[in-house]
Amino acid sequence: MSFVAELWQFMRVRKKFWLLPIMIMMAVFGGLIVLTKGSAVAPFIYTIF
Amino acid sequence: MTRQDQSGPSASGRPARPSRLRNAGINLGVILATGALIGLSLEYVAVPIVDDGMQYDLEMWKYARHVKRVSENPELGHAHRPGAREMLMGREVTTNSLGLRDREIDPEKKPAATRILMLGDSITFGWGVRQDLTVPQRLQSALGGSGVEVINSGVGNYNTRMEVEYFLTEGYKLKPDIVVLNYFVNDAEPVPSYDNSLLEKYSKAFVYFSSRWDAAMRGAGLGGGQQTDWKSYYRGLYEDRTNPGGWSGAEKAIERAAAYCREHGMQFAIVHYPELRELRPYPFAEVTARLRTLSERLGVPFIDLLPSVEKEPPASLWVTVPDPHPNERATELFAAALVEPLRAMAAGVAAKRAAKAN
Repeated sequence: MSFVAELWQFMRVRKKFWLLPIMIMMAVFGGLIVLTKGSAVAPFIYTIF
Repeated sequence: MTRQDQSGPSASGRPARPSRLRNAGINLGVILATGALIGLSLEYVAVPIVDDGMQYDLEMWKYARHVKRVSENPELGHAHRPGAREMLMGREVTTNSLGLRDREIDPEKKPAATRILMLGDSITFGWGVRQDLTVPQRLQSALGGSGVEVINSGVGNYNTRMEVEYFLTEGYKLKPDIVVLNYFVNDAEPVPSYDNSLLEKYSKAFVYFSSRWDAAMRGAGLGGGQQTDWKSYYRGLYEDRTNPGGWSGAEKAIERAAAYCREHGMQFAIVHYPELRELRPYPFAEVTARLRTLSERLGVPFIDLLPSVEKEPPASLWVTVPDPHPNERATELFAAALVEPLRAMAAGVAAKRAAKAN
């Protein structure tokens, strides 16, 4: 968590808030990859047809 | 020259500040550029890294893009391309000139041969299973010596209506003596939709992450409508409220296939494949009972494959953890349970043929 706090401090002090959406998207997509890796919760779903 | 000089003085003599419009334009540009950068990174960096050839959703996408095609017959929906070759779930998939995942089949049957046509979906097709270890191929190996030819006509994402449509428009041309309808709990699903968006058709990242999102929603119990857990989803296929005409459509299709076989002197049988996530107690016994009742009403053999696998640890039978299609161990057990009933049916066909010849 200290890493996140440091990153937030950096963005605040240096006014690099444009990094925020990139960080959020990385967290969302990374989280999706990791959290859904080992689950068999969905029925057989065909991607296109 | 300073920034003030570039901007020019305002009417009051103070340097002009960038207009709001200009600011908004810059912000929009930054947002769009960031969005494009994220999209390109996901498509060309993130997904290629995670795509190890065993990601169910990506492999299904490749299957649809490279092996299947939309059929001109809307009742059939889709079919395999003839002569396709692709690695899917770490297994080579090839289709013959008829679009079947099988060896080349001579449409003209040898007079002494007994042909068994296996109708089915991805389980019969052998998703994630080596071509020579699918259930039809294992049956071919076991029964081939006694003049039996087993044909695999399984196509992924076929429901029962589509399987019967295939049989009545194409499969019958192979002149089978025995037709086996291989049934799985999702075979009461509606015919799939083919109006996919461009993103669904061409973006691996969209396919991968929308599927992950779907799994996350189901896992968290946050999904509504179709995004229910797998048990509720499969049970819902048999309720008119959630899937109108699902089971009744499948039932009518099975009746049509059985009637066609009766009229043309073919044997017909129904085989039930269990959902492999939970085997004891089996959560879809009611579906098995429906099939059994239907078989009894039609007077056709019914083979339930649940007893052949129910003592196994479920996960030992799956292709991968998120993809519980039957793996090569499961196809071995299924085929072993089918050999004797089909051998008996084939012997009956051969005996009838011999009696006719005499």
